[in-house]
Amino acid sequence: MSKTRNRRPTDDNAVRRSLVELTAAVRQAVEDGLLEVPASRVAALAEHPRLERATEKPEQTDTPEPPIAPIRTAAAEPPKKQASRGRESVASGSAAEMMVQIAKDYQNNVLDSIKAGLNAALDHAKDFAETKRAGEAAGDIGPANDGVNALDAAVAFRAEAIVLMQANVAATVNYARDLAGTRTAAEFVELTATQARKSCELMLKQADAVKSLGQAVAKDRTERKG
Amino acid sequence: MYVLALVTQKGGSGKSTLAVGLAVAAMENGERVALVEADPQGTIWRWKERRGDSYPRVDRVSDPAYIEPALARLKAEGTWLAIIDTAATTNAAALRAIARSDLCLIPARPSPADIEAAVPTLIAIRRLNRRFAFILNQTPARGGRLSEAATSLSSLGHLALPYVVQRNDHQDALGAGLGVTEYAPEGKAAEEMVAVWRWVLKKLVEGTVGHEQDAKQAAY
Repeated sequence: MSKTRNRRPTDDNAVRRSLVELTAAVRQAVEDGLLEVPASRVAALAEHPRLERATEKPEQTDTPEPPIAPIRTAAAEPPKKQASRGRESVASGSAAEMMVQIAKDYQNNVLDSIKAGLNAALDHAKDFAETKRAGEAAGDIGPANDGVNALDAAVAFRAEAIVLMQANVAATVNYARDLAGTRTAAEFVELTATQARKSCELMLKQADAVKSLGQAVAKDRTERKG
Repeated sequence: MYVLALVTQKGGSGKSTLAVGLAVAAMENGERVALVEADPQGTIWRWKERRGDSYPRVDRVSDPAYIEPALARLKAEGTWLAIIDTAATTNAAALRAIARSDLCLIPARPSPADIEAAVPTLIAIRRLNRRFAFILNQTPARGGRLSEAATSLSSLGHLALPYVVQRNDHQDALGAGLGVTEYAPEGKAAEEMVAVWRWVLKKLVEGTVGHEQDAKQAAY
């Protein structure tokens, strides 16, 4: 005679919880987490950006760790201090702090890339001017000051662009910091809108600077040829 | 270069296995693919050692700050898709991977633990304003719980299709240093992986498709 096995739990508390109900709780937890205010930590970070933090202990694994392929790209690798900040961020335990740090690191990388690009452009302009001078010395026909004036314009543009980019970086970092401290959805929307407006203003300024450079060079060439 | 990150702090959800399967499926589709392993557990690195083939390329990063340089280098070398495998924790490496990704895939089994474990990852993704999708992994082939899980995850965001059913081919392929589409090309696991890769590709290239449509398909 076969024995019938009752697989149903007898305890009323042992009823399986619906995944749909559980997901509703998860959704609420996510919303709460988004509005979480790590105010003290963010404020401390704002006042002391390089706040000392404990170093994270590496995760313990049962198996020996395989060799790690070194990532060595001179141009792209961040400075050691950035690498150490990455580890420090882990230990802080605050997602908001880590996100602010990520934003800062990312913006620093972008700024470095922009500076490198501008310097390369300036070097190119300088080479162009020197070639012109050499050509003039050799008796070539051409507007002698063309390259030199382009160089002046490029120098002015570089200085202006760096100032603007630094302002952009500062605005973005401030935005990330403020965002981490928002208490309500209304604050979030307001901050985001303000940031969008600031970004647009900065982009317009940068566009104007580029336009001015082009006009300066074009005007100079026209005058020389005329 | 597109960047796909597999993230969730739940261990055993299948991030590494999916990363490998998707990378090989993409590679077979003619794409130049690289895997970036930001998980100290080293599952992908060991898979690569067993593989005996130089493709797909695997870069292992030991420090969160090296993720960005690794991606920059891959991009400079002409890589079309970088897949980042992260550790089972929401650490700095995972956050950087999320911040740098075009799409985050959150593998989850149809279990309360996996769904609950997605909370910190979801918060990070939404704070960083990244696109994401859940992928139901290691599922039973059918059943009410699967539909329930699909409905649940669809209410939180996009759900990749099809679901990845629990099949031995995935584990056997990993052990053999192969992608599941190489190990058993005619098998159902390979068929599902190719279909998932097509779904991911569509999301990467074409952008977001209506959430309602995905939810409807997932619930179907």
